[in-house]
Amino acid sequence: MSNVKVVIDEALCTSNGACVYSAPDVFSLNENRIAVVASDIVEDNDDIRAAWESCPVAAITLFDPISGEEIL
Amino acid sequence: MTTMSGTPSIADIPEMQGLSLGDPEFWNLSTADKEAALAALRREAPVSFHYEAFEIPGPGFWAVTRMEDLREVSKNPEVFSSSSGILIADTYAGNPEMMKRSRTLIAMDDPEHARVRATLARAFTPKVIANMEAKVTEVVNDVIDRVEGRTEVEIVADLAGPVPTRIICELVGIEPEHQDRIYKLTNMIIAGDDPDFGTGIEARIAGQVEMRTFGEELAERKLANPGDDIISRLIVAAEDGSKLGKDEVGPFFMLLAAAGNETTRNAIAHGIKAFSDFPEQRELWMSDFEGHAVNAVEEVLRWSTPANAMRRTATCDTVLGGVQIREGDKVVMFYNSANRDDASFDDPFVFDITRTPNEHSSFGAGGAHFCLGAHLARLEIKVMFRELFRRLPNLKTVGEVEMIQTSLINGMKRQRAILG
Repeated sequence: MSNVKVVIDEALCTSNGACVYSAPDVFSLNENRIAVVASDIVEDNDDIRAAWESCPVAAITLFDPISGEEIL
Repeated sequence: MTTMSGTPSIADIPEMQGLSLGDPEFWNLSTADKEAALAALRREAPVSFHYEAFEIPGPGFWAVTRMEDLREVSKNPEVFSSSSGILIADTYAGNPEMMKRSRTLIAMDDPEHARVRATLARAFTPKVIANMEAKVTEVVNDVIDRVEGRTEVEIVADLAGPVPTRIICELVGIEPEHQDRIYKLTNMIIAGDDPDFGTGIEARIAGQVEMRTFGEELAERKLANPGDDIISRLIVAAEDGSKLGKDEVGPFFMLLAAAGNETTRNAIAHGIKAFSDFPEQRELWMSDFEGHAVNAVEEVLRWSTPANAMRRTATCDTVLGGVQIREGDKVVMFYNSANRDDASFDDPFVFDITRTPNEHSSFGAGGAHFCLGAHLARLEIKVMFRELFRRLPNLKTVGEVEMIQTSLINGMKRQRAILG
């Protein structure tokens, strides 16, 4: 199973929580209600992709952790 | 009212003219008078208690007018709940069956909200919306085709209204012959208080029932004959248990058809007026359309603030802006006020397409209910102005604007414009 690197743009995050709903094992909202990840390198699965796609402000970016290229 | 910091009552604020934000008369005041009153509230009583004088009686509500406090309310759904209703007045007070059947995503709390939202969000991702640019461009040009050659237009009915209606109808899979009906029903639901659109609460309820029934019938047609539209995808395609139940389709349809139609209409209409009132901003955007597009669209959104007010209900005793709120109290966010808050924006009454940062509240002040259609709205606004500047470069509003008489939206009713 391959991994992805998750990067959250904190300036964009509107505390929607869609990512927490889609992938609760990976995302949470911190005390300022900004989305955070426990570890930025995680297993690439449907939950991560759903969280990435459902962010209403596109604050989540995924990268290939080996090549460093953004996943589009 | 009891406040911990000695905040004045609205009766002590002369700019309120003896009215409250819960009084339809307030919303009939001139734009300048309303802005002056909201500015006075922000300055002197940013969280203040207002009586309700709408058709449906109510206990009154706390009006939240500063951006900072709107964010606090919007980002704390555990304290400020949506599931008791998001309109100031309780349309279905005493009618739990109607209330249940009319509940939409916008009036849910988590975890139910998150489940439905996750299902719907797939239809509105940035990637899905970006792929719609050609379609939006085609619709915009078709609408412009119909006015080209004329000397005068009415910008709401001729330009701003048809574009979002046609786009949302295509997205949702509404056949072209029904689009006029959807436009009329939206006006009844959103602006039934205005005598031009309805007969008050009865018209609003009738509009909601008809819209919901239309959605249920549409869903049945799509089940039998699925297409490449949101309703088909939601009811047919999903096999992972996340599809919408039959009883969820009607209310969802109602929300999408109304929200996707009237909001962007007003953003575009106010935008057209703003670019007429401030021609130097139009010249600036036209001089480098793509270069200014991102910031200009956000400024059109801030300036227009299509949704004026959304309500929450306190789930517990709490303090907001130094004011004691009790469990069960209604708390109403006034987005237009937050978008003119000088603590958040330099010179908030200046229309500036280069404004950055521009953290407006036109899609909500953050949190779980952030506008689902934000990317679509941005795309429609961008394409609309790109094509208007290209094809009708001399479009200019003339005469006085007529506004819809309502507290709910910043709705433009009529505005004449010349093309030459």
